[in-house]
Amino acid sequence: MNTCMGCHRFVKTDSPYIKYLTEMYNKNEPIEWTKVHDLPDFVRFTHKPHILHGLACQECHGQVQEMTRVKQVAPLLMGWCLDCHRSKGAPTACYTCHF
Amino acid sequence: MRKDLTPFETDQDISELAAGIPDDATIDAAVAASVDPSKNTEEREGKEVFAWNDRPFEAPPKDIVRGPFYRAVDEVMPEVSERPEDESEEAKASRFALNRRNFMRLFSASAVMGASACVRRPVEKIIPYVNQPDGTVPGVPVYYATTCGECANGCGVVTATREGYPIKLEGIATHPINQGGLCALGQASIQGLYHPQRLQQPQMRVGQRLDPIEWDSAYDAIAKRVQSAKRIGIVVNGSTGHQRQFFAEFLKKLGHDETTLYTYDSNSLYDSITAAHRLAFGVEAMPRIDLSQAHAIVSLGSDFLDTGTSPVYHSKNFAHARSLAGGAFAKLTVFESALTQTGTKADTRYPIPANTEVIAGLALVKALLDSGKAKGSAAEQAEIRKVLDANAESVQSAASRLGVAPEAFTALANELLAGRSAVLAGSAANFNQDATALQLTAIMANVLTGAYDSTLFLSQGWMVAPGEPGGINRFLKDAPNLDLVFFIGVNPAFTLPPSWGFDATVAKIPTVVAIDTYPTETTRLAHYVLPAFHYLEAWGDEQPVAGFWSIRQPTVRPINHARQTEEMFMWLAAKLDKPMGYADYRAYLLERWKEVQQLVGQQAMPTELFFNAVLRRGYIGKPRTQTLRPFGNVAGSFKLVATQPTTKLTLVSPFHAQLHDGRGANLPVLQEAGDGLTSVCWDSWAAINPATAQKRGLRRNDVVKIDGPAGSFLVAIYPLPGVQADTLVVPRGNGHTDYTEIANEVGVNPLVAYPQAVDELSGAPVTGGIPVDVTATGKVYQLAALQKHFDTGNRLDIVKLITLDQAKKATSVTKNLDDVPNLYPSLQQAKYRWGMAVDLTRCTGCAACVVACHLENNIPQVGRADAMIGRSMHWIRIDRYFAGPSENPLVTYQPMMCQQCNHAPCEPVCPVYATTHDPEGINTQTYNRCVGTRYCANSCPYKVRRFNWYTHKWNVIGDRPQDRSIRALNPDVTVRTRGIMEKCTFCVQRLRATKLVLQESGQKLRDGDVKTACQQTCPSDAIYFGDLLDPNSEVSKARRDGRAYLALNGDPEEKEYGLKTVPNVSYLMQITRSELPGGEAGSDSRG
Repeated sequence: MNTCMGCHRFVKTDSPYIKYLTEMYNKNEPIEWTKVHDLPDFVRFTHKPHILHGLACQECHGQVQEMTRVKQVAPLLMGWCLDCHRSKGAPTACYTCHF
Repeated sequence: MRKDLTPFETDQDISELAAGIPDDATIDAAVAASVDPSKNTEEREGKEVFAWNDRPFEAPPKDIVRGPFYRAVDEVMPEVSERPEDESEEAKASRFALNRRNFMRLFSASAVMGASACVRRPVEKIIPYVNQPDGTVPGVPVYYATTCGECANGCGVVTATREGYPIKLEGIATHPINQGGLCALGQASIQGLYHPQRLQQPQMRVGQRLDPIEWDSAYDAIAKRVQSAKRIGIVVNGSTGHQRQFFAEFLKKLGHDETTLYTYDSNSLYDSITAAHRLAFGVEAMPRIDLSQAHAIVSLGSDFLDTGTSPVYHSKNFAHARSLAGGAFAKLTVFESALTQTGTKADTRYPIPANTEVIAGLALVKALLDSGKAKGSAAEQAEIRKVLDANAESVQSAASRLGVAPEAFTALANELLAGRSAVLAGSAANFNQDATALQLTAIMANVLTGAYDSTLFLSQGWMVAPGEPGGINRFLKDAPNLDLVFFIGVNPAFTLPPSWGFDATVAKIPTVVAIDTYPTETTRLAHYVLPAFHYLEAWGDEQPVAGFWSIRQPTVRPINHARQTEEMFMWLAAKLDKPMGYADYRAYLLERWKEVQQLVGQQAMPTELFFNAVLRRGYIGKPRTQTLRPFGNVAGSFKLVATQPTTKLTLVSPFHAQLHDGRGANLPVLQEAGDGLTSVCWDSWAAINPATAQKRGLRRNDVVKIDGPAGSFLVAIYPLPGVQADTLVVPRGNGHTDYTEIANEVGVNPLVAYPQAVDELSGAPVTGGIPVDVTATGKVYQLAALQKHFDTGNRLDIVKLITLDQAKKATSVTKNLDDVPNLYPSLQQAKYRWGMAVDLTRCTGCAACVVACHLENNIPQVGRADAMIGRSMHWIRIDRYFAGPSENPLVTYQPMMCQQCNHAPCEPVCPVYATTHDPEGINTQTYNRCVGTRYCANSCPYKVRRFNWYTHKWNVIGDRPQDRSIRALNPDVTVRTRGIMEKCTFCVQRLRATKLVLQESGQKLRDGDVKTACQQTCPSDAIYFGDLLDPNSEVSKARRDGRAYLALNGDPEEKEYGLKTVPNVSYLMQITRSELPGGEAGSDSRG
């Protein structure tokens, strides 16, 4: 939250959400975010390889920059993962994600 | 619908099916009928559906050709095998007894499963740091260097923490003591940090109870008592660091003197070694034994690889001394009564009666003197001659009992004189009245072989003794005059024989304050109990080698209300208006470390900076030197007491290989790992020579009553090959009464049999080598011995031995174990092919790998009842095979994990493709796909697949209900649920983490970048892991070695391919100097 506050101490401070953020930060209490893109516990997902291979955020998360409230766009099911992995020549062995 | 298809009775009326489900009354009636009325019903509550004496997995008898190896002595001596099962109606009725609770547990579990299938997944929350600490990235581990606090050996430890919580300990690779390795106890200590029954809050005695109080009132009450006390005693645990100095300073500050500061380390080996060196050289120190360059090693009852002065240090060096690459393959000769793990690695092993180790030592000293080539000055030789002459009679009379030919000693003397050598003496089994005499004998032998300053270092870089010889004895003498006593991290109420009357002595002291991390038998006696930090939360230091310092720092914020022990004393001093002048214990250490700074020549640096720099590395030092008085003054004090012959059996009680003196008994993973030799877990046993057992009509699992001079106890028999004929071995460590729910009422404490006696020279309590009566009770008690399960179907080409000569020739041979003709399609090619190699010559069966694997991979501990019916979850287990005569067998340890077969029998049988082959050579198990048919486990010839019979919840440790902290889990490994198969993954999470790091730079993994948990912790460096496609990797070299073989894959050189599974795990044959059992190496591959 200190990262958020780095800018929001000055930017858009009149927004009710930023006011809430500032209030919580000053109270030294974390904000509980709801996990929108939630994978099951037996899936080991890391952003790193996807970003290193030049995938845009929007390919999985949708047009987040246009969303007022983030929602899940892609199904995040294994078939959907594999379709992309196959088309891009990414590994498809089980241990890539399940261990 | 055709009527003959009876299995599909679709036209059966649903009401008929419903009628089949029993109602409450029927269940109760069935439960009442099935529960054995002679047994306590409460005892059966909560047990499994299968009672412990069930044999659901008994294989039909097979006609097999007996090979040279046997897993238990029963196979070659059926006379000592377990009694045939009691087939009375009563016993039958108790089998498959289903009580109401079990029924409901199973039934409700499946009902919940069915119901939850259509419920939405719970919403998960993300809770960010309000202020993210510098250098912390969620999901990326932060490492802290610290020093293990389980014993005083001072092994350096790297603690991996995730989001502030330690998840795994590893040895510091560059630390000179443990050199990257860590023993089972050290590995397991993380379970101690999260132990649910740690002391949470100060307690005060109110009548019989201990009631929780606040810290402030505890300080006030104790300070008042301290103020009025005339004499204050402090009993601290053995430590080589500044801890003792601190308490001395505290006493001084309060106007008391240091004489009432006592150190107690239950490992009296430290006492006898220091006492012997004080007598011989005038210094209270232990020599640092560097075995890495030794050519010949003699052990007089010393179990230096497992329970010695510094086992990890010794194991690392011994492994080096036993490598073929170095040229010399050190010869180890062991004289011992019990079979120890060191004894199993011996080239020549003499089983000798307990208490005669010192006689063997004196015979060796005599042979050395008589050889005419002995080193040492004339004066030294004369002194030694004097000792020999004075004891000639007792040696003479006992020599016949040894059963060792005199020529053997002459030959041994010549071997010792030929090169660098060491004679090591004593272990926990030899804590008898002659323990110091035995050490003196070893010193004499070492003086005569010139071992000092070549393998034993005493004048430079010696080892600091953590204890004070006879400290506890001194305390008990002073106790009646003490008004107040602090017990700090010691548990004499358990580690001293009850005959010492410790409890009664302490009861007379007006105020007793016990400071410990867990409730113990000693805290139970106290008036005030103060919870202390676990060592992973605390500041501290150790000085394992004189001048070499290893630092301990907190790796986690305190997870309960415990406090730093030393700071409690600072508070007390402050309350009494005599402040010690330090803000906290760190400040105290900082002050003391100025001296260390001087020592290493870093005075120019600001102390704070120096201290922080050391914290990053974990250790620093420069060996100090000391001057020794010339060897002498021994003859006057040397006398033998305990060597009298006896017609009874002699009881010895070595430390349990994993539980140490009992301090590890509250850690379920240590209880579950099992003993290396008997494979018994969650219990105590009495190991006895099989021939003796037969003679006395005792069989495996028979309960005997052992009557010692001071008391008696009941224990089950385990006939163990190699134990000397007149010796009975009952390990100590179990039999706790007040040491958390995990340890309580597990096994027995053999110390109850020992009378109060001390070794005169060191003042250490006698806890070994007393005559006992053994009487059968006619009862049978099943020991949970793991090595009757997961047996590999009597297949014989699983362990292979090779003679030293053959092994030397084999180093120039290049093998191709993968050249196997087969009809399978060729394997996919990837960037890597992961492989492992295990050197059986190096493995000492210490089980550190088993414990490391459990903690790395979130493996549950199932407890005794489940272990007994083959449900233990070890991904790696240590199989141990005997060969040759049961009096003195050849022992081979074989760590057995998933062999990652290239042609895996488990893969084609899976109906749902849950187990498949990875392009990188790993046989993968996909948990979320597994439906639990267990076909794969059935077809696995190595029996390494484990099935989850239950969801092992956080609130169950073993079969004992406990709250296990979810924080202790490794977040990188999925936690498996009920009905799922699991097995070794080659620590794929570590492979992936490293690959991700390297992906950024596009580099390829190099050899050694990834170490599996078992490989990393191995104190003997017996495990290699790496890429088999890289011809220069260690593992490739090991696979090409002439000693390499694949388990159950025959002998490709002979065009015998065995099961043709072609595993990616290869083994290196155990090198032996003895003759090979059954002829040539591995000749029984076709048995």
